[in-house]
Amino acid sequence: MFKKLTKQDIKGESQLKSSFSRNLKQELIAKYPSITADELEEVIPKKKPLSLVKCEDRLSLYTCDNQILFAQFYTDEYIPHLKFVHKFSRGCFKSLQVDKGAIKFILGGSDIMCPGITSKGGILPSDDVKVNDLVFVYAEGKESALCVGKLKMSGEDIKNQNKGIAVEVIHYLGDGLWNMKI
Amino acid sequence: MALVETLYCKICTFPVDFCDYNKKATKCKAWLEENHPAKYQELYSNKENEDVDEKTKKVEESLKKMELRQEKKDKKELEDQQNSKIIIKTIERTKRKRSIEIQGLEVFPLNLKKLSKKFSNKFATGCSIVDNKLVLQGDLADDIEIFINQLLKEEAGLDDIKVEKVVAKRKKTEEELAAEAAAAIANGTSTAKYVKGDENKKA
Ligand SMILES: [Zn+2]
Repeated sequence: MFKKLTKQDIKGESQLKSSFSRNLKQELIAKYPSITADELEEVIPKKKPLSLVKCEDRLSLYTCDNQILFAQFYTDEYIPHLKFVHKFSRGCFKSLQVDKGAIKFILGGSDIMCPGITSKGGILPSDDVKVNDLVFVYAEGKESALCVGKLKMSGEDIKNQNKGIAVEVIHYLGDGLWNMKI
Repeated sequence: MALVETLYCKICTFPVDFCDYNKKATKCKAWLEENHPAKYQELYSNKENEDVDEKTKKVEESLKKMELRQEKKDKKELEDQQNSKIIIKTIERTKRKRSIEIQGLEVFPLNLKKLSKKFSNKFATGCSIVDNKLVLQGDLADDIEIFINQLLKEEAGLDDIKVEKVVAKRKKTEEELAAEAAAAIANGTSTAKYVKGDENKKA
Protein backbone atom coordinates (compact mmCIF):
# COMPACT_ATOMS: atom_id res chain seq x y z
CA MET A 1 0.00 0.00 0.00
CA PHE A 2 3.01 2.24 0.44
CA LYS A 3 4.78 1.03 -2.67
CA LYS A 4 4.71 4.37 -4.42
CA LEU A 5 4.94 6.65 -1.42
CA THR A 6 7.65 9.30 -1.83
CA LYS A 7 8.63 12.58 -0.29
CA GLN A 8 6.66 14.35 -2.99
CA ASP A 9 3.46 13.15 -1.32
CA ILE A 10 4.04 15.26 1.76
CA LYS A 11 1.66 18.18 2.00
CA GLY A 12 2.54 19.64 5.36
CA GLU A 13 3.72 19.05 8.88
CA SER A 14 2.29 20.23 12.18
CA GLN A 15 3.17 19.68 15.81
CA LEU A 16 0.75 17.78 18.00
CA LYS A 17 -0.25 18.66 21.53
CA SER A 18 1.10 16.70 24.46
CA SER A 19 -2.43 15.57 25.26
CA PHE A 20 -2.51 13.76 21.92
CA SER A 21 0.68 11.95 22.79
CA ARG A 22 -0.76 10.94 26.18
CA ASN A 23 -3.92 9.57 24.60
CA LEU A 24 -1.97 7.75 21.93
CA LYS A 25 0.15 5.98 24.53
CA GLN A 26 -2.94 4.91 26.43
CA GLU A 27 -4.47 3.57 23.27
CA LEU A 28 -1.32 1.66 22.42
CA ILE A 29 -1.09 0.07 25.84
CA ALA A 30 -4.70 -1.02 25.58
CA LYS A 31 -4.04 -2.49 22.16
CA TYR A 32 -0.67 -4.10 22.91
CA PRO A 33 -0.94 -5.09 26.59
CA SER A 34 2.54 -6.64 26.68
CA ILE A 35 4.14 -3.29 25.97
CA THR A 36 4.90 -1.49 29.23
CA ALA A 37 4.50 2.22 29.89
CA ASP A 38 8.23 2.53 30.53
CA GLU A 39 9.13 1.00 27.18
CA LEU A 40 6.70 3.25 25.41
CA GLU A 41 8.09 6.25 27.24
CA GLU A 42 11.51 5.38 25.84
CA VAL A 43 10.22 5.28 22.27
CA ILE A 44 7.92 8.30 22.59
CA PRO A 45 9.49 10.51 25.29
CA LYS A 46 7.34 13.17 26.94
CA LYS A 47 9.91 15.82 26.15
CA LYS A 48 9.86 15.20 22.42
CA PRO A 49 6.73 16.43 20.69
CA LEU A 50 4.93 14.31 18.13
CA SER A 51 4.39 15.67 14.66
CA LEU A 52 1.68 14.95 12.17
CA VAL A 53 2.82 14.78 8.57
CA LYS A 54 -0.07 14.96 6.15
CA CYS A 55 0.31 13.28 2.77
CA GLU A 56 -1.73 12.81 -0.38
CA ASP A 57 -4.64 10.37 -0.42
CA ARG A 58 -5.67 11.05 3.17
CA LEU A 59 -2.57 9.46 4.62
CA SER A 60 -1.24 10.75 7.94
CA LEU A 61 2.17 9.93 9.35
CA TYR A 62 2.91 10.37 13.04
CA THR A 63 6.54 11.11 13.73
CA CYS A 64 8.75 11.70 16.71
CA ASP A 65 12.30 12.97 16.43
CA ASN A 66 12.17 12.59 12.62
CA GLN A 67 11.27 8.92 12.89
CA ILE A 68 7.97 7.67 11.58
CA LEU A 69 6.08 5.82 14.30
CA PHE A 70 2.71 5.22 12.67
CA ALA A 71 0.87 5.62 9.42
CA GLN A 72 -2.87 6.08 9.23
CA PHE A 73 -5.31 6.15 6.35
CA TYR A 74 -8.18 8.52 6.93
CA THR A 75 -9.13 7.79 10.56
CA ASP A 76 -8.46 4.05 10.47
CA GLU A 77 -6.26 2.29 12.96
CA TYR A 78 -2.62 3.19 13.43
CA ILE A 79 -0.27 1.07 11.35
CA PRO A 80 3.05 0.82 13.19
CA HIS A 81 6.18 1.49 11.15
CA LEU A 82 8.48 -1.54 11.11
CA LYS A 83 11.22 0.38 12.91
CA PHE A 84 8.72 0.83 15.74
CA VAL A 85 7.81 -2.86 15.64
CA HIS A 86 11.48 -3.86 15.78
CA LYS A 87 11.87 -2.09 19.12
CA PHE A 88 9.61 -4.56 20.88
CA SER A 89 9.86 -8.28 21.38
CA ARG A 90 7.87 -10.59 19.20
CA GLY A 91 5.53 -11.55 22.03
CA CYS A 92 4.05 -8.05 22.12
CA PHE A 93 2.24 -8.48 18.83
CA LYS A 94 -0.27 -10.73 17.13
CA SER A 95 2.06 -12.56 14.83
CA LEU A 96 2.61 -15.39 12.41
CA GLN A 97 5.66 -16.78 10.66
CA VAL A 98 6.42 -17.53 7.02
CA ASP A 99 9.01 -19.96 5.62
CA LYS A 100 12.26 -18.80 4.03
CA GLY A 101 10.90 -19.12 0.51
CA ALA A 102 8.18 -16.54 1.11
CA ILE A 103 10.54 -13.75 2.17
CA LYS A 104 11.59 -12.91 -1.37
CA PHE A 105 7.99 -12.49 -2.51
CA ILE A 106 6.92 -10.40 0.45
CA LEU A 107 9.85 -8.03 0.00
CA GLY A 108 8.87 -7.79 -3.66
CA GLY A 109 5.46 -6.48 -2.63
CA SER A 110 3.29 -9.61 -2.81
CA ASP A 111 0.59 -10.64 -0.40
CA ILE A 112 1.15 -13.79 1.65
CA MET A 113 -0.27 -17.05 0.35
CA CYS A 114 -1.34 -19.85 2.67
CA PRO A 115 1.42 -22.34 1.71
CA GLY A 116 4.06 -19.89 2.93
CA ILE A 117 2.58 -20.20 6.42
CA THR A 118 1.55 -23.86 6.49
CA SER A 119 4.90 -25.25 5.29
CA LYS A 120 7.60 -26.54 7.65
CA GLY A 121 9.21 -23.18 8.37
CA GLY A 122 5.94 -21.34 9.01
CA ILE A 123 3.88 -20.82 12.15
CA LEU A 124 0.12 -20.20 12.08
CA PRO A 125 -1.35 -17.23 13.93
CA SER A 126 -2.79 -18.06 17.34
CA ASP A 127 -6.53 -18.42 17.78
CA ASP A 128 -7.07 -14.98 19.26
CA VAL A 129 -6.04 -13.37 15.97
CA LYS A 130 -9.20 -12.65 14.03
CA VAL A 131 -9.82 -11.97 10.36
CA ASN A 132 -9.06 -8.31 9.50
CA ASP A 133 -6.78 -7.95 12.53
CA LEU A 134 -3.41 -6.34 12.01
CA VAL A 135 -0.75 -9.08 12.09
CA PHE A 136 3.01 -8.82 12.33
CA VAL A 137 4.89 -11.21 10.11
CA TYR A 138 8.16 -12.87 11.06
CA ALA A 139 10.24 -15.27 9.02
CA GLU A 140 11.94 -18.60 9.53
CA GLY A 141 15.42 -18.10 10.98
CA LYS A 142 15.14 -14.29 11.19
CA GLU A 143 14.75 -12.14 14.27
CA SER A 144 13.00 -9.04 12.98
CA ALA A 145 9.51 -8.60 11.61
CA LEU A 146 9.49 -8.13 7.84
CA CYS A 147 5.98 -6.91 7.22
CA VAL A 148 2.72 -5.76 8.70
CA GLY A 149 -0.53 -6.85 7.16
CA LYS A 150 -4.17 -7.65 7.58
CA LEU A 151 -5.19 -11.24 8.26
CA LYS A 152 -7.62 -12.35 5.55
CA MET A 153 -8.31 -15.91 6.71
CA SER A 154 -8.55 -17.40 10.18
CA GLY A 155 -5.68 -19.63 11.29
CA GLU A 156 -7.97 -22.62 10.96
CA ASP A 157 -8.94 -21.79 7.38
CA ILE A 158 -5.33 -21.23 6.41
CA LYS A 159 -4.50 -24.71 7.69
CA ASN A 160 -7.49 -26.47 6.14
CA GLN A 161 -7.91 -24.73 2.80
CA ASN A 162 -4.21 -24.01 2.27
CA LYS A 163 -4.70 -21.84 -0.77
CA GLY A 164 -5.34 -18.18 -1.54
CA ILE A 165 -4.26 -15.00 0.17
CA ALA A 166 -3.83 -15.37 3.92
CA VAL A 167 -2.42 -11.94 4.67
CA GLU A 168 -2.86 -8.72 2.77
CA VAL A 169 0.49 -6.99 3.12
CA ILE A 170 0.29 -3.31 4.06
CA HIS A 171 3.84 -2.32 4.93
CA TYR A 172 7.07 -4.25 4.28
CA LEU A 173 10.83 -3.78 4.48
CA GLY A 174 11.96 -1.65 1.57
CA ASP A 175 8.62 -0.15 0.59
CA GLY A 176 7.91 3.57 0.28
CA LEU A 177 7.08 3.97 3.96
CA TRP A 178 10.26 2.18 5.01
CA ASN A 179 12.38 4.36 2.74
CA MET A 180 10.66 7.63 3.59
CA LYS A 181 12.79 10.14 5.40
CA ILE A 182 11.07 12.96 7.23
CA MET B 1 11.65 -5.54 29.90
CA ALA B 2 14.01 -3.53 27.81
CA LEU B 3 13.61 -2.50 24.22
CA VAL B 4 15.04 -4.69 21.47
CA GLU B 5 18.16 -3.34 19.78
CA THR B 6 18.04 -4.07 16.10
CA LEU B 7 21.17 -3.70 14.00
CA TYR B 8 20.36 -2.05 10.71
CA CYS B 9 22.57 -2.32 7.64
CA LYS B 10 24.16 0.94 6.56
CA ILE B 11 24.06 -0.15 2.93
CA CYS B 12 20.53 -1.42 2.39
CA THR B 13 18.83 -0.07 5.58
CA PHE B 14 17.32 -3.51 6.36
CA PRO B 15 17.86 -5.36 9.64
CA VAL B 16 21.12 -7.19 8.94
CA ASP B 17 19.54 -10.65 8.81
CA PHE B 18 17.60 -9.55 5.71
CA CYS B 19 20.59 -8.27 3.72
CA ASP B 20 20.56 -11.47 1.69
CA TYR B 21 17.29 -10.49 0.10
CA ASN B 22 18.58 -7.21 -1.08
CA LYS B 23 19.96 -6.29 -4.44
CA LYS B 24 23.16 -5.00 -2.86
CA ALA B 25 23.91 -8.09 -0.76
CA THR B 26 27.61 -8.32 -1.66
CA LYS B 27 28.27 -4.77 -0.50
CA CYS B 28 26.18 -5.37 2.62
CA LYS B 29 28.30 -8.35 3.61
CA ALA B 30 31.52 -6.42 3.16
CA TRP B 31 30.17 -3.62 5.32
CA LEU B 32 29.00 -6.00 8.06
CA GLU B 33 32.29 -7.90 8.12
CA GLU B 34 34.21 -4.67 8.58
CA ASN B 35 31.96 -2.95 11.09
CA HIS B 36 30.30 -5.76 13.03
CA PRO B 37 32.56 -8.81 12.66
CA ALA B 38 30.82 -10.75 15.44
CA LYS B 39 27.43 -10.41 13.81
CA TYR B 40 28.97 -11.32 10.46
CA GLN B 41 30.37 -14.53 11.96
CA GLU B 42 27.01 -15.36 13.43
CA LEU B 43 25.12 -14.82 10.20
CA TYR B 44 27.45 -16.11 7.52
CA SER B 45 30.31 -18.24 8.84
CA ASN B 46 28.62 -21.50 9.79
CA LYS B 47 26.45 -21.29 6.73
CA GLU B 48 29.34 -22.06 4.43
CA ASN B 49 30.24 -25.27 6.24
CA GLU B 50 26.69 -26.43 6.57
CA ASP B 51 25.25 -28.68 3.94
CA VAL B 52 22.70 -26.58 2.10
CA ASP B 53 19.87 -28.39 0.43
CA GLU B 54 19.03 -28.03 -3.26
CA LYS B 55 16.14 -25.66 -2.77
CA THR B 56 18.06 -23.09 -0.74
CA LYS B 57 20.88 -23.30 -3.27
CA LYS B 58 18.51 -22.50 -6.08
CA VAL B 59 17.03 -19.57 -4.21
CA GLU B 60 20.50 -18.24 -3.50
CA GLU B 61 21.50 -18.54 -7.13
CA SER B 62 18.47 -16.68 -8.38
CA LEU B 63 19.06 -13.97 -5.78
CA LYS B 64 22.66 -13.60 -6.99
CA LYS B 65 21.49 -13.18 -10.57
CA MET B 66 18.92 -10.63 -9.54
CA GLU B 67 21.62 -8.73 -7.70
CA LEU B 68 23.86 -8.60 -10.76
CA ARG B 69 21.08 -7.48 -13.02
CA GLN B 70 20.06 -4.75 -10.61
CA GLU B 71 23.63 -3.53 -10.31
CA LYS B 72 23.89 -3.13 -14.08
CA LYS B 73 20.58 -1.37 -14.24
CA ASP B 74 21.48 1.01 -11.42
CA LYS B 75 24.76 1.85 -13.09
CA LYS B 76 23.13 2.64 -16.38
CA GLU B 77 20.44 4.72 -14.73
CA LEU B 78 22.99 6.75 -12.84
CA GLU B 79 24.99 7.35 -16.00
CA ASP B 80 21.89 8.45 -17.84
CA GLN B 81 21.05 10.84 -15.07
CA GLN B 82 24.49 12.33 -14.88
CA ASN B 83 24.68 12.81 -18.63
CA SER B 84 21.27 14.33 -18.95
CA LYS B 85 20.39 17.94 -18.67
CA ILE B 86 17.31 19.72 -17.42
CA ILE B 87 16.19 22.63 -19.53
CA ILE B 88 14.06 25.38 -18.07
CA LYS B 89 12.66 27.39 -20.90
CA THR B 90 11.00 30.74 -20.31
CA ILE B 91 8.42 31.57 -22.92
CA GLU B 92 7.07 35.07 -23.35
CA ARG B 93 3.38 34.80 -23.91
CA THR B 94 2.47 38.44 -23.97
CA LYS B 95 4.45 41.50 -23.06
CA ARG B 96 4.22 40.84 -19.36
CA LYS B 97 3.08 37.24 -19.07
CA ARG B 98 5.54 34.43 -19.12
CA SER B 99 5.27 30.71 -18.74
CA ILE B 100 8.05 28.22 -18.25
CA GLU B 101 8.59 24.76 -19.60
CA ILE B 102 10.74 22.17 -17.82
CA GLN B 103 12.27 19.48 -19.96
CA GLY B 104 14.33 16.37 -19.20
CA LEU B 105 12.86 15.37 -15.84
CA GLU B 106 11.76 11.92 -16.95
CA VAL B 107 15.12 10.19 -16.41
CA PHE B 108 15.03 10.99 -12.71
CA PRO B 109 13.08 9.06 -10.10
CA LEU B 110 10.45 11.75 -9.82
CA ASN B 111 6.77 11.36 -10.36
CA LEU B 112 5.76 14.11 -12.80
CA LYS B 113 2.15 14.07 -11.74
CA LYS B 114 3.00 14.54 -8.09
CA LEU B 115 5.64 17.10 -8.97
CA SER B 116 3.15 19.11 -10.97
CA LYS B 117 0.81 19.20 -8.01
CA LYS B 118 3.64 20.22 -5.73
CA PHE B 119 4.64 23.04 -8.06
CA SER B 120 1.16 24.43 -8.35
CA ASN B 121 0.84 24.39 -4.57
CA LYS B 122 4.23 25.80 -3.80
CA PHE B 123 4.24 28.53 -6.41
CA ALA B 124 0.50 29.17 -6.37
CA THR B 125 0.16 28.83 -10.12
CA GLY B 126 -1.13 26.51 -12.81
CA CYS B 127 1.06 23.56 -13.72
CA SER B 128 0.38 20.91 -16.31
CA ILE B 129 2.14 18.04 -18.02
CA VAL B 130 2.60 18.19 -21.80
CA ASP B 131 4.58 15.37 -23.48
CA ASN B 132 6.76 14.68 -20.44
CA LYS B 133 7.35 18.38 -19.97
CA LEU B 134 6.05 20.43 -17.10
CA VAL B 135 4.49 23.75 -18.05
CA LEU B 136 4.05 26.40 -15.38
CA GLN B 137 2.36 29.75 -15.64
CA GLY B 138 4.51 32.61 -14.41
CA ASP B 139 8.05 33.90 -14.58
CA LEU B 140 9.50 31.37 -12.17
CA ALA B 141 12.65 30.05 -13.82
CA ASP B 142 14.99 31.07 -11.01
CA ASP B 143 12.80 29.72 -8.22
CA ILE B 144 12.27 26.49 -10.09
CA GLU B 145 15.98 26.03 -10.66
CA ILE B 146 16.72 26.27 -6.94
CA PHE B 147 13.82 24.02 -6.09
CA ILE B 148 14.75 21.31 -8.60
CA ASN B 149 18.36 21.22 -7.48
CA GLN B 150 17.25 20.83 -3.89
CA LEU B 151 14.73 18.18 -4.81
CA LEU B 152 17.23 16.07 -6.74
CA LYS B 153 19.68 16.23 -3.88
CA GLU B 154 17.11 15.21 -1.30
CA GLU B 155 15.15 12.64 -3.23
CA ALA B 156 17.81 11.01 -5.37
CA GLY B 157 21.06 12.07 -3.73
CA LEU B 158 22.16 13.61 -6.99
CA ASP B 159 24.41 16.61 -7.07
CA ASP B 160 25.59 18.77 -9.94
CA ILE B 161 22.92 17.89 -12.43
CA LYS B 162 23.12 20.32 -15.30
CA VAL B 163 20.24 22.75 -15.37
CA GLU B 164 20.11 25.11 -18.29
CA LYS B 165 17.89 28.14 -18.53
CA VAL B 166 16.82 29.49 -21.87
CA VAL B 167 14.50 32.29 -22.89
CA ALA B 168 12.31 32.10 -25.95
CA LYS B 169 11.37 35.60 -27.08
CA ARG B 170 8.03 36.15 -28.66
CA LYS B 171 7.82 38.10 -31.90
CA LYS B 172 6.45 41.55 -31.24
CA THR B 173 3.30 42.67 -33.00
CA GLU B 174 3.05 45.81 -35.11
CA GLU B 175 1.08 47.71 -32.45
CA GLU B 176 3.58 46.95 -29.76
CA LEU B 177 6.46 48.11 -31.88
CA ALA B 178 4.60 51.32 -32.50
CA ALA B 179 3.77 51.78 -28.84
CA GLU B 180 7.37 51.15 -27.90
CA ALA B 181 8.65 53.65 -30.39
CA ALA B 182 6.10 56.22 -29.30
CA ALA B 183 7.12 55.75 -25.69
CA ALA B 184 10.76 56.14 -26.66
CA ILE B 185 10.04 59.40 -28.44
CA ALA B 186 7.95 60.71 -25.54
CA ASN B 187 10.76 59.92 -23.13
CA GLY B 188 13.22 61.55 -25.39
CA THR B 189 15.31 58.42 -25.47
CA SER B 190 14.94 58.06 -29.17
CA THR B 191 15.17 60.59 -31.93
CA ALA B 192 13.82 58.23 -34.52
CA LYS B 193 10.38 59.11 -35.81
CA TYR B 194 7.87 56.38 -36.19
CA VAL B 195 4.55 57.17 -37.69
CA LYS B 196 1.65 54.79 -37.38
CA GLY B 197 0.02 53.65 -40.58
CA ASP B 198 -3.20 55.60 -39.89
CA GLU B 199 -1.50 58.86 -39.21
CA ASN B 200 0.48 58.44 -42.36
CA LYS B 201 -2.68 58.44 -44.44
CA LYS B 202 -4.08 61.55 -42.79
CA ALA B 203 -0.93 63.45 -43.52
ZN1 LIG C 1 22.32 -4.74 3.89
